[in-house]
Amino acid sequence: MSVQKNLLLICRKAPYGNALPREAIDIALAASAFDQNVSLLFSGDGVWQLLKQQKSDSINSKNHGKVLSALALYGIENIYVDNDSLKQRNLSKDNLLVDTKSVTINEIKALCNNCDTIFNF
Amino acid sequence: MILHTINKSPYSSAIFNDCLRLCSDGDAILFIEDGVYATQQGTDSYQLIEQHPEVNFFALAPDLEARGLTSDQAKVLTVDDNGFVELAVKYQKVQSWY
Amino acid sequence: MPSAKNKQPVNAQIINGKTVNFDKEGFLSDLNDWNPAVANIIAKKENVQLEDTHWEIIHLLRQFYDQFELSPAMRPLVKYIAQQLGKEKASSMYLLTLFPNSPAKLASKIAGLPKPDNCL
Repeated sequence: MSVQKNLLLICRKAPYGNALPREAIDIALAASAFDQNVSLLFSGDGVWQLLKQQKSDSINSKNHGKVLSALALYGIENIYVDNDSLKQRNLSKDNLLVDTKSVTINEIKALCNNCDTIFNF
Repeated sequence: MILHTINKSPYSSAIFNDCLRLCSDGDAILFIEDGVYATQQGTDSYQLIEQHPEVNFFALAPDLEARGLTSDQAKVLTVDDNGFVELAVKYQKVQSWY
Repeated sequence: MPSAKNKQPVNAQIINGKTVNFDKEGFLSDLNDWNPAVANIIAKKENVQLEDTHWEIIHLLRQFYDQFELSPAMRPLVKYIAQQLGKEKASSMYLLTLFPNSPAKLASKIAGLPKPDNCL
Protein backbone atom coordinates (compact mmCIF):
# COMPACT_ATOMS: atom_id res chain seq x y z
CA MET A 1 0.00 0.00 0.00
CA SER A 2 2.47 2.56 1.09
CA VAL A 3 4.80 4.13 -1.42
CA GLN A 4 8.02 5.52 -0.08
CA LYS A 5 9.18 8.71 -1.73
CA ASN A 6 12.24 10.86 -1.34
CA LEU A 7 11.00 14.26 -0.24
CA LEU A 8 13.19 17.34 -0.18
CA LEU A 9 11.99 20.28 1.87
CA ILE A 10 13.81 23.52 1.19
CA CYS A 11 13.50 25.93 4.12
CA ARG A 12 14.27 29.49 2.99
CA LYS A 13 12.57 31.70 5.55
CA ALA A 14 13.77 33.04 8.89
CA PRO A 15 11.98 31.42 11.84
CA TYR A 16 9.68 33.91 13.57
CA GLY A 17 8.43 36.17 10.75
CA ASN A 18 5.64 33.90 9.60
CA ALA A 19 4.23 30.41 10.01
CA LEU A 20 5.96 28.78 7.02
CA PRO A 21 9.09 27.51 8.81
CA ARG A 22 6.99 25.71 11.40
CA GLU A 23 4.61 24.36 8.73
CA ALA A 24 7.59 22.94 6.86
CA ILE A 25 8.86 21.11 9.94
CA ASP A 26 5.36 19.81 10.68
CA ILE A 27 5.23 18.40 7.15
CA ALA A 28 8.64 16.81 7.64
CA LEU A 29 7.60 15.21 10.94
CA ALA A 30 4.28 13.98 9.57
CA ALA A 31 5.83 12.62 6.37
CA SER A 32 8.46 10.83 8.40
CA ALA A 33 5.80 9.37 10.72
CA PHE A 34 4.27 7.94 7.52
CA ASP A 35 7.53 6.29 6.48
CA GLN A 36 8.55 8.78 3.84
CA ASN A 37 12.23 9.49 3.29
CA VAL A 38 12.61 13.15 4.24
CA SER A 39 15.58 15.44 3.60
CA LEU A 40 15.74 19.04 4.76
CA LEU A 41 17.80 21.78 3.15
CA PHE A 42 18.21 25.11 4.93
CA SER A 43 19.08 27.87 2.50
CA GLY A 44 18.97 31.68 2.40
CA ASP A 45 17.38 33.16 5.52
CA GLY A 46 16.27 29.62 6.37
CA VAL A 47 19.69 29.05 7.97
CA TRP A 48 18.63 31.39 10.79
CA GLN A 49 16.20 28.66 11.87
CA LEU A 50 19.18 26.58 12.96
CA LEU A 51 20.73 29.16 15.26
CA LYS A 52 21.51 28.02 18.80
CA GLN A 53 20.03 29.62 21.91
CA GLN A 54 16.68 30.75 20.57
CA LYS A 55 14.56 31.98 23.49
CA SER A 56 11.23 32.78 21.92
CA ASP A 57 9.36 33.18 25.21
CA SER A 58 10.14 36.86 24.79
CA ILE A 59 7.74 37.05 21.83
CA ASN A 60 5.28 34.40 23.06
CA SER A 61 6.12 32.04 20.22
CA LYS A 62 6.86 28.36 20.18
CA ASN A 63 10.59 27.76 20.20
CA HIS A 64 11.57 26.78 16.67
CA GLY A 65 14.95 25.48 17.78
CA LYS A 66 13.30 23.02 20.18
CA VAL A 67 11.13 21.61 17.41
CA LEU A 68 14.16 21.19 15.15
CA SER A 69 15.99 19.29 17.86
CA ALA A 70 13.24 16.61 17.65
CA LEU A 71 14.13 15.76 14.03
CA ALA A 72 16.51 12.98 15.04
CA LEU A 73 13.83 11.27 17.14
CA TYR A 74 11.61 11.30 14.05
CA GLY A 75 14.33 9.55 12.09
CA ILE A 76 15.15 12.59 9.96
CA GLU A 77 18.91 12.53 9.58
CA ASN A 78 19.48 14.07 6.16
CA ILE A 79 19.76 17.69 7.19
CA TYR A 80 21.68 19.94 4.81
CA VAL A 81 22.66 23.56 5.05
CA ASP A 82 23.60 25.83 2.16
CA ASN A 83 27.26 26.70 2.71
CA ASP A 84 27.03 29.98 0.74
CA SER A 85 24.07 31.10 2.85
CA LEU A 86 26.05 30.43 6.04
CA LYS A 87 29.04 32.39 4.74
CA GLN A 88 26.90 35.35 3.63
CA ARG A 89 25.59 35.61 7.18
CA ASN A 90 28.98 35.12 8.82
CA LEU A 91 27.79 31.85 10.39
CA SER A 92 29.54 28.54 10.77
CA LYS A 93 28.35 25.09 11.73
CA ASP A 94 29.38 25.86 15.33
CA ASN A 95 26.48 28.30 15.50
CA LEU A 96 23.91 25.65 14.60
CA LEU A 97 21.84 23.59 17.00
CA VAL A 98 21.49 20.42 14.96
CA ASP A 99 24.08 18.35 13.20
CA THR A 100 23.97 19.36 9.55
CA LYS A 101 25.91 18.60 6.41
CA SER A 102 26.97 21.76 4.63
CA VAL A 103 26.56 21.59 0.87
CA THR A 104 27.78 23.53 -2.16
CA ILE A 105 25.50 24.84 -4.89
CA ASN A 106 26.33 21.87 -7.11
CA GLU A 107 25.46 19.45 -4.32
CA ILE A 108 22.19 21.32 -3.83
CA LYS A 109 21.36 20.96 -7.53
CA ALA A 110 22.03 17.25 -7.23
CA LEU A 111 19.71 17.01 -4.20
CA CYS A 112 16.97 18.74 -6.20
CA ASN A 113 17.48 16.51 -9.21
CA ASN A 114 17.67 13.24 -7.28
CA CYS A 115 14.58 13.53 -5.07
CA ASP A 116 11.02 12.65 -6.07
CA THR A 117 9.25 15.73 -4.76
CA ILE A 118 10.39 19.19 -3.67
CA PHE A 119 8.58 21.37 -1.17
CA ASN A 120 9.77 24.92 -1.02
CA PHE A 121 9.06 27.04 2.04
CA MET B 1 14.29 18.58 -15.11
CA ILE B 2 12.33 20.90 -12.89
CA LEU B 3 9.64 23.45 -13.66
CA HIS B 4 10.00 26.37 -11.25
CA THR B 5 7.15 28.81 -10.76
CA ILE B 6 7.76 32.32 -9.44
CA ASN B 7 4.88 34.47 -8.22
CA LYS B 8 6.61 37.53 -6.75
CA SER B 9 7.75 40.72 -8.44
CA PRO B 10 11.54 40.94 -8.77
CA TYR B 11 11.28 44.46 -7.37
CA SER B 12 10.06 43.23 -3.99
CA SER B 13 11.54 39.76 -3.66
CA ALA B 14 14.84 37.97 -4.22
CA ILE B 15 13.27 34.67 -5.23
CA PHE B 16 14.09 35.07 -8.94
CA ASN B 17 17.79 35.19 -8.03
CA ASP B 18 17.44 32.40 -5.47
CA CYS B 19 15.64 30.24 -8.00
CA LEU B 20 18.15 30.86 -10.82
CA ARG B 21 20.96 29.87 -8.51
CA LEU B 22 19.41 26.43 -8.02
CA CYS B 23 18.46 25.89 -11.68
CA SER B 24 20.15 23.10 -13.59
CA ASP B 25 20.55 23.09 -17.38
CA GLY B 26 17.23 22.37 -19.04
CA ASP B 27 15.07 23.53 -16.14
CA ALA B 28 12.24 25.93 -16.84
CA ILE B 29 10.97 29.00 -15.01
CA LEU B 30 7.35 30.02 -15.39
CA PHE B 31 6.45 33.50 -14.17
CA ILE B 32 2.96 33.72 -12.72
CA GLU B 33 0.98 36.38 -10.82
CA ASP B 34 3.32 39.27 -9.85
CA GLY B 35 6.23 37.18 -11.10
CA VAL B 36 5.40 38.31 -14.64
CA TYR B 37 6.90 41.76 -13.91
CA ALA B 38 10.31 40.07 -14.34
CA THR B 39 9.74 39.64 -18.07
CA GLN B 40 9.89 43.27 -19.15
CA GLN B 41 12.66 44.36 -21.53
CA GLY B 42 15.24 46.93 -20.49
CA THR B 43 15.24 45.87 -16.84
CA ASP B 44 17.75 44.12 -14.59
CA SER B 45 15.58 41.03 -14.38
CA TYR B 46 15.32 40.84 -18.17
CA GLN B 47 19.13 40.96 -18.30
CA LEU B 48 19.18 37.99 -15.97
CA ILE B 49 16.87 36.15 -18.34
CA GLU B 50 19.23 36.93 -21.24
CA GLN B 51 22.21 35.71 -19.21
CA HIS B 52 20.65 32.28 -18.67
CA PRO B 53 20.06 30.65 -22.07
CA GLU B 54 20.30 27.22 -20.40
CA VAL B 55 16.97 27.89 -18.69
CA ASN B 56 13.63 27.97 -20.54
CA PHE B 57 11.51 30.97 -19.55
CA PHE B 58 7.73 31.18 -19.73
CA ALA B 59 5.11 33.64 -18.53
CA LEU B 60 1.43 33.04 -17.91
CA ALA B 61 -0.53 35.03 -20.51
CA PRO B 62 -3.62 35.85 -18.40
CA ASP B 63 -1.39 37.30 -15.66
CA LEU B 64 0.51 39.44 -18.19
CA GLU B 65 -2.69 40.68 -19.82
CA ALA B 66 -4.35 41.49 -16.53
CA ARG B 67 -1.43 43.75 -15.64
CA GLY B 68 -1.26 45.49 -19.03
CA LEU B 69 1.99 43.75 -19.97
CA THR B 70 3.19 41.91 -23.05
CA SER B 71 6.07 39.53 -23.55
CA ASP B 72 8.75 39.67 -26.24
CA GLN B 73 8.08 36.01 -27.18
CA ALA B 74 11.81 35.65 -27.96
CA LYS B 75 13.36 34.97 -24.58
CA VAL B 76 10.08 34.45 -22.74
CA LEU B 77 7.29 32.39 -24.26
CA THR B 78 3.76 32.97 -23.06
CA VAL B 79 1.49 30.09 -22.15
CA ASP B 80 -2.19 29.99 -21.27
CA ASP B 81 -3.62 27.89 -18.43
CA ASN B 82 -3.59 24.75 -20.58
CA GLY B 83 0.04 25.47 -21.43
CA PHE B 84 0.79 25.68 -17.71
CA VAL B 85 -0.67 22.21 -17.27
CA GLU B 86 1.33 20.89 -20.23
CA LEU B 87 4.53 22.25 -18.74
CA ALA B 88 3.74 20.71 -15.37
CA VAL B 89 3.31 17.36 -17.08
CA LYS B 90 6.39 17.70 -19.28
CA TYR B 91 8.80 18.43 -16.44
CA GLN B 92 9.29 15.70 -13.83
CA LYS B 93 9.01 18.00 -10.84
CA VAL B 94 7.43 21.33 -10.08
CA GLN B 95 8.92 23.65 -7.54
CA SER B 96 6.87 26.66 -6.42
CA TRP B 97 8.83 29.68 -5.28
CA TYR B 98 6.90 32.23 -3.25
CA MET C 1 -0.95 25.32 13.31
CA PRO C 2 -3.25 26.52 16.06
CA SER C 3 -1.89 26.08 19.54
CA ALA C 4 -4.11 24.31 22.03
CA LYS C 5 -4.90 27.63 23.65
CA ASN C 6 -6.70 28.83 20.54
CA LYS C 7 -9.16 25.99 20.37
CA GLN C 8 -12.70 26.84 21.37
CA PRO C 9 -13.53 25.28 24.72
CA VAL C 10 -16.64 23.16 24.37
CA ASN C 11 -16.68 21.51 27.77
CA ALA C 12 -16.06 23.15 31.09
CA GLN C 13 -15.63 21.28 34.34
CA ILE C 14 -14.85 22.51 37.82
CA ILE C 15 -11.87 20.60 39.23
CA ASN C 16 -10.65 21.46 42.74
CA GLY C 17 -12.60 24.71 42.60
CA LYS C 18 -11.10 25.80 39.29
CA THR C 19 -12.87 25.88 35.91
CA VAL C 20 -11.05 23.70 33.39
CA ASN C 21 -11.98 23.80 29.70
CA PHE C 22 -11.75 20.89 27.29
CA ASP C 23 -12.13 20.77 23.52
CA LYS C 24 -14.63 18.48 21.83
CA GLU C 25 -12.18 15.56 21.84
CA GLY C 26 -11.44 15.97 25.53
CA PHE C 27 -8.01 17.64 25.20
CA LEU C 28 -7.25 20.49 27.59
CA SER C 29 -7.95 23.89 26.09
CA ASP C 30 -5.25 25.52 28.20
CA LEU C 31 -2.18 23.39 28.87
CA ASN C 32 -1.50 25.37 32.06
CA ASP C 33 -4.63 23.89 33.64
CA TRP C 34 -2.95 20.50 33.93
CA ASN C 35 -2.18 18.90 37.27
CA PRO C 36 -2.32 15.29 38.50
CA ALA C 37 -5.93 15.70 39.67
CA VAL C 38 -6.93 16.84 36.18
CA ALA C 39 -5.00 13.90 34.71
CA ASN C 40 -6.96 11.48 36.92
CA ILE C 41 -10.26 12.95 35.76
CA ILE C 42 -9.29 12.76 32.08
CA ALA C 43 -8.09 9.17 32.60
CA LYS C 44 -11.35 8.18 34.28
CA LYS C 45 -13.32 9.53 31.31
CA GLU C 46 -11.15 7.36 29.07
CA ASN C 47 -11.56 4.30 31.32
CA VAL C 48 -7.88 4.22 32.26
CA GLN C 49 -6.90 3.58 35.89
CA LEU C 50 -3.60 5.41 36.41
CA GLU C 51 -0.86 3.31 38.03
CA ASP C 52 2.81 4.14 38.58
CA THR C 53 3.64 2.73 35.14
CA HIS C 54 1.19 5.20 33.58
CA TRP C 55 2.56 8.13 35.53
CA GLU C 56 6.07 7.30 34.38
CA ILE C 57 4.97 7.71 30.75
CA ILE C 58 2.84 10.76 31.53
CA HIS C 59 5.77 12.55 33.15
CA LEU C 60 8.02 11.52 30.29
CA LEU C 61 5.54 12.94 27.78
CA ARG C 62 5.47 16.23 29.64
CA GLN C 63 9.26 16.23 29.61
CA PHE C 64 9.17 15.55 25.85
CA TYR C 65 6.82 18.48 25.36
CA ASP C 66 8.99 20.72 27.50
CA GLN C 67 12.06 19.73 25.50
CA PHE C 68 10.62 19.82 21.96
CA GLU C 69 7.32 21.79 22.27
CA LEU C 70 5.68 18.97 20.40
CA SER C 71 3.31 16.09 21.18
CA PRO C 72 5.10 13.03 19.87
CA ALA C 73 3.79 10.53 17.37
CA MET C 74 4.15 6.86 18.30
CA ARG C 75 7.59 6.14 16.86
CA PRO C 76 9.47 9.13 18.26
CA LEU C 77 7.81 8.49 21.61
CA VAL C 78 9.09 4.91 21.59
CA LYS C 79 12.58 6.14 20.68
CA TYR C 80 12.44 8.70 23.46
CA ILE C 81 11.36 6.05 25.98
CA ALA C 82 14.33 3.93 24.88
CA GLN C 83 16.65 6.86 25.57
CA GLN C 84 15.12 7.84 28.89
CA LEU C 85 13.68 4.69 30.46
CA GLY C 86 15.56 1.91 28.73
CA LYS C 87 14.82 -0.61 26.01
CA GLU C 88 12.35 -2.89 27.91
CA LYS C 89 9.62 -0.26 27.95
CA ALA C 90 10.40 1.06 24.47
CA SER C 91 7.77 -0.75 22.45
CA SER C 92 4.38 0.09 21.03
CA MET C 93 3.03 -3.09 22.67
CA TYR C 94 3.99 -1.81 26.11
CA LEU C 95 2.31 1.53 25.40
CA LEU C 96 -0.77 -0.19 24.03
CA THR C 97 -1.25 -2.13 27.25
CA LEU C 98 -1.09 1.11 29.26
CA PHE C 99 -2.98 3.36 26.86
CA PRO C 100 -5.19 1.21 24.62
CA ASN C 101 -6.07 1.81 20.94
CA SER C 102 -4.12 4.98 20.19
CA PRO C 103 -1.39 5.33 22.84
CA ALA C 104 0.28 8.53 21.59
CA LYS C 105 -3.04 10.32 21.38
CA LEU C 106 -4.52 8.99 24.62
CA ALA C 107 -1.38 9.47 26.69
CA SER C 108 -0.96 13.03 25.33
CA LYS C 109 -4.55 13.76 26.31
CA ILE C 110 -4.05 12.53 29.88
CA ALA C 111 -0.69 14.32 30.13
CA GLY C 112 -2.42 17.58 29.21
CA LEU C 113 -0.62 18.05 25.89
CA PRO C 114 -2.13 19.09 22.54
CA LYS C 115 -3.30 16.33 20.25
CA PRO C 116 -0.32 15.01 18.23
CA ASP C 117 -0.57 16.53 14.73
CA ASN C 118 0.81 13.57 12.94
CA CYS C 119 -0.96 10.52 14.23
CA LEU C 120 -4.01 8.80 12.80
